[in-house]
Amino acid sequence: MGSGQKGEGMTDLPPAPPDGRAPSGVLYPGGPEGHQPSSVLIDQTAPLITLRDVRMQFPGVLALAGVSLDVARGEVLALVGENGAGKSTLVSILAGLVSGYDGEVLLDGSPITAGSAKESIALVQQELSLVPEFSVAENIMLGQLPHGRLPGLYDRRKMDAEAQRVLDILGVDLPLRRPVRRLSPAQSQIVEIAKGLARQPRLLILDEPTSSLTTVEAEKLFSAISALRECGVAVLYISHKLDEVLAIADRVAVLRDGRKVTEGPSVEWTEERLIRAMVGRDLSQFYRRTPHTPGNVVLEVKALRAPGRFEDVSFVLREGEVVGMAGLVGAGRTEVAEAIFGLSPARDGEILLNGAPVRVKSPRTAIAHGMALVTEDRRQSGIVGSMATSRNVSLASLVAFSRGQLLRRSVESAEISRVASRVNLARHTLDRAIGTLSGGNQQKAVIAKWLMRTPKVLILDEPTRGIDVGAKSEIYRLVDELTAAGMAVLLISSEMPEILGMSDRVLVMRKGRLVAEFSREDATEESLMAAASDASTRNGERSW
Amino acid sequence: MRSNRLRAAAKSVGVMSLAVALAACGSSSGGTAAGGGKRVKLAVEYGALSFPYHSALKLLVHAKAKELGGVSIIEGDSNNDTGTELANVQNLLSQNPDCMLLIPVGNASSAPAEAAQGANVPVVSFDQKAAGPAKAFVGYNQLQSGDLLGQFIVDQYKALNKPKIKVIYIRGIIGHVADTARNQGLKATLQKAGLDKDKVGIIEQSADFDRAKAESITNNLMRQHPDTDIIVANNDDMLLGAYSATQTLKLPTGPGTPLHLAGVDGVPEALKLIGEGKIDATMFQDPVAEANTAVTTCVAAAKGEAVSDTVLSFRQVTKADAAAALDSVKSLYK
Amino acid sequence: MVTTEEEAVRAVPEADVTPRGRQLRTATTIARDYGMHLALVALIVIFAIASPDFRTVENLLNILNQVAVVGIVSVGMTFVILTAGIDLSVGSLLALTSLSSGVFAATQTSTTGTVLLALAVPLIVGLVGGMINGAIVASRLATPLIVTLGTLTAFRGMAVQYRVNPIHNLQDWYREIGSGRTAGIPNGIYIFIAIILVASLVLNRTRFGREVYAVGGNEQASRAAGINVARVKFAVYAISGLCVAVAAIINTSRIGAAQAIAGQGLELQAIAAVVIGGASLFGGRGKISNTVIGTLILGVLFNGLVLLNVSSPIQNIIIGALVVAAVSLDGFFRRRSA
Repeated sequence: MGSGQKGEGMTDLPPAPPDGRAPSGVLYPGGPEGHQPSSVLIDQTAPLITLRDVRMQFPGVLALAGVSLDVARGEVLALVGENGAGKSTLVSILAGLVSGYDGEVLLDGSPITAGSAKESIALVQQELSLVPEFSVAENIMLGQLPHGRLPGLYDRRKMDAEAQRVLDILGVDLPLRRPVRRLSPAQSQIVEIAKGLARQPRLLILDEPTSSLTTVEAEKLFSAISALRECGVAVLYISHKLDEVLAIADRVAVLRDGRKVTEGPSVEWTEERLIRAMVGRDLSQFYRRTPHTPGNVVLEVKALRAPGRFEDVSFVLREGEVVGMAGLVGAGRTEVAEAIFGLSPARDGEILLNGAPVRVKSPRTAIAHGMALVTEDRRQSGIVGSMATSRNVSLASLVAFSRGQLLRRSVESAEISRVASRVNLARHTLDRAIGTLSGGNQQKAVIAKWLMRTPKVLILDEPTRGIDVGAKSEIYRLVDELTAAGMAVLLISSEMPEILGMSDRVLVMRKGRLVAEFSREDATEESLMAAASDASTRNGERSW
Repeated sequence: MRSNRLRAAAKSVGVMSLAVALAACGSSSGGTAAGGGKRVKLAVEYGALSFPYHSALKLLVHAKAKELGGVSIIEGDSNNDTGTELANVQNLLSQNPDCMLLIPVGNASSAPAEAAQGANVPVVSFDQKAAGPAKAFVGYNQLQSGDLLGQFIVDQYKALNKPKIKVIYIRGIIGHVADTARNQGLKATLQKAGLDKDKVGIIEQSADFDRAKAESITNNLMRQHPDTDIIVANNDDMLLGAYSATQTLKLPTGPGTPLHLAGVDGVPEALKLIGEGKIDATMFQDPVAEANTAVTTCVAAAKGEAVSDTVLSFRQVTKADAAAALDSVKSLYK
Repeated sequence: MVTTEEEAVRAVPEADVTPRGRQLRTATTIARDYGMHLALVALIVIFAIASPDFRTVENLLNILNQVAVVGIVSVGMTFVILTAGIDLSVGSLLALTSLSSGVFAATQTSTTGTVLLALAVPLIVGLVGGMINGAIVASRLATPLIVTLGTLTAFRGMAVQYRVNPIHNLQDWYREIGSGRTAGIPNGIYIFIAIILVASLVLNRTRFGREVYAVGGNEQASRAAGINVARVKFAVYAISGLCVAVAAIINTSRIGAAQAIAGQGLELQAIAAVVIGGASLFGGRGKISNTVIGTLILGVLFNGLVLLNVSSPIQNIIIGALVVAAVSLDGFFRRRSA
């Protein structure tokens, strides 16, 4: 996933200037209002943004059913809710991406326009909007490249300097001249955030900014957010990660079914109460892991090696066992999964299934041997977005439904119904293009696709990234059920609570090597972090 | 064999200028015109060797060069593309030819001829008049083929003895030199004969010199205008497409039927159908005389002799002389 | 916007849908899914009013018969475009297969053997030509655009090298294929319909068809689902080559000659037909039936404009403008509803 380049960039770039300039002074000379002459006349205690009874009617459906909300200057407001609650619509309205809503949206007390939204509000979304061939600096400064001496040219040095200043605020180092396509997903995410910040917005909207970041990386983002708050920038923070929300936000607003259910200072909330507000019901137990004794070894990996990606990886996976795999982004976990599944085979080493060595040259052979992989990047390699959900579900099992080449469609649809109900995928989603579904439903369909084959080994790579709480808990329930029936699960995740809550054993990878293994009892957030990041890490090395 | 072909050529070229006749005879009797002196290197650039006519010219140019003796040939194929044409001409010039025969892709670009002039290589434009500085032109008068097509219509009008006749006129690529000239010739002749819209109704469509498209167009139009008297086309290939459509529609064609067909070029397939009485006429351009004259003119220019234009004339071939015409070109289109 | 709609859909139960919203949605959906059908109907109505000669059964049969050649090539092209590929070599391959058919269909020899050869050899040549494209594309050494741009030139070269002059004097039975009739209906129409039915069956009812859509929709995900992506890609070009061969036989038979210059620009007509039919050049979206509609739109336009005696340059302007308009309109509705 390109994360193999992790760390290289650090060496060919001088470290950030250690002068400890205050972020506020650099990006916002005189604060964010300083470059807004009109703001002199504006009451600084009044909210920056005011929504009054905003309703949004899409053809056939009501996305927002009357939402009223204030965002104060210099406040971090978290917006939480399940997928489908209306968060994206709200954000799209604020960013001026959609029009045709009812109600009022005020910026500084006057109705927001596309122009004023563009000037004051920056939106950083989950879907990356970077130009892969452009450099880090070019992407960050895109749309406001400093003019050069000749018309039509831009000043590269000035551009690099300004991009560096933005990165300094975020407290990260990135090789400014490296094309974005050579960055890891986490690094790209940082560039995305920097790009939003470079526009010096008065409201920064972050939509799931940490979904591909590790804890360490996320920490840096949080300190950057704090710095922004200090200089009066308001931040609208959208995340499924409730612990983050509670840690970073001043206030939390909960949306459900297009309505604002409740809001209040974050100190008054707990994760459990938030979840209850979001889903409108109790989630008695979020992580479900029924203890049972593991059976025979199903998968054994011996001295697997792919130069440049990972070295000497050996482990076993038993029937009915969930083995977690923790590590920083770029530690080589995805690469190991892809090697086992044949997407990019390892050069050396052995893979044994039920004790017999197998040569996995492609996913086809892996699947034939009873393996399944839920990939890290759903859109890129998990779903065929333009195809109906039902057809995605049956995609890996077509041979089972055909006589010769001819598909037996009644058998197929019966089987689709069976697995769909198993993963709790609503009927009406089946006929729709899977690309139009929420992340949670997409992921359920991907899992259903593999359940149809009843695999012996299921590899889950970041299975709950960017999906809502309800779908998450269903996936956990499913993993518990499947392992109870004897399936072996390898769970790769960057979410510590998920690893800790679901795993029977935890493997930790660092820089392409397996460095530690913990039993469920011994695994703690601290022990895993210590192993993943290595206390002896030299200064130059960071998580990106 | 050689003299056979020349006899056929002499016979087939109707209104040939005296100069051409002399040149042709001279070469046929002597064969030593180039033999005595130094070797002559001839560069030939063809418009598109995928065109059967150009391909036939190539065979004839080689035959004539062999006959003359002492003439070597280097050549290129423009593939009907002016860019390729210029590049080929430059490549040919870099091999220091003594004269260049150029069948231009169009008549607009003067760059190839200018390049040759810059390299002090005389250019004889061949088959089609090239723009730019050429020493001479050897080829047919395209306008006159249009005249003959027009005359065909005039003759039929008289023979049919009707107050008004209907003509389907299938044109080539609009803007193409040959198409423009033939169209002008045809219209001018009709006008001269006093045949206006009320006497000759013309339905005009372009088939881009493409046989399949001509077939479709004729198929469409003959259903709409079953009372059509004449179909003329700006080349034989399109006329053959039209003929194919009339066959599908089971319409009798040719002399003595209600539907008369005429084209331009004289390709063997058309000549054969004329002999069978399925097509009335074609305006025949004989590649033999054209290629022979081109080669002798270019060899003369290579030796620094004064050369002049040779403009050949099309000749209408009907059932009576179709066999002879077919005989003269049969071997060229294999 | 994708997530927005999903949110919207989940946000309210179906019962909450307002009548206005439902009407809007229905209209947009119809325009999106049937826009091309409506355009075709509109064209037919316009021409039928404008030209009495247009609105005859004979003329409509004539149109169907005329589009058969481009239509069959477009059907093959649909397979290729569904996998996000493109086949630019179809016109040149048509010339090559024409010659390989014509050489056996010429009158000098007339035995059952030559009949078989006149039909079988072009199919083999077309298949091999397509397989060459497919093998190189599947190897991922070069993109489909470059591969078929190369074979476009190479196949034409082979055809011209083999024979510059047209092969004519085709046997009568051979001429019947493209210009004869059975039960009053031109034979080309039967062949066209047969190809449409087989292609639809393959795309909609077979494992391979499903895999074609999957590979075009997301190659990586298809590979991860165990699909042999290379084999699927190889096969669609082979299918395209085979379709070209069938079209070549009809075309050669109809115009009564096999020519090395046949089929120039055919690739653009076929691509236009597929795209007008709403297929995405990025793969994964398209239908045989829609490609047929696209072909018919082009065929009706050509026929109608000829009957109205519109001059060729004006015809080209109108057809070109309509292609762009059709595709833009399609994009507009898709954006509205997606």
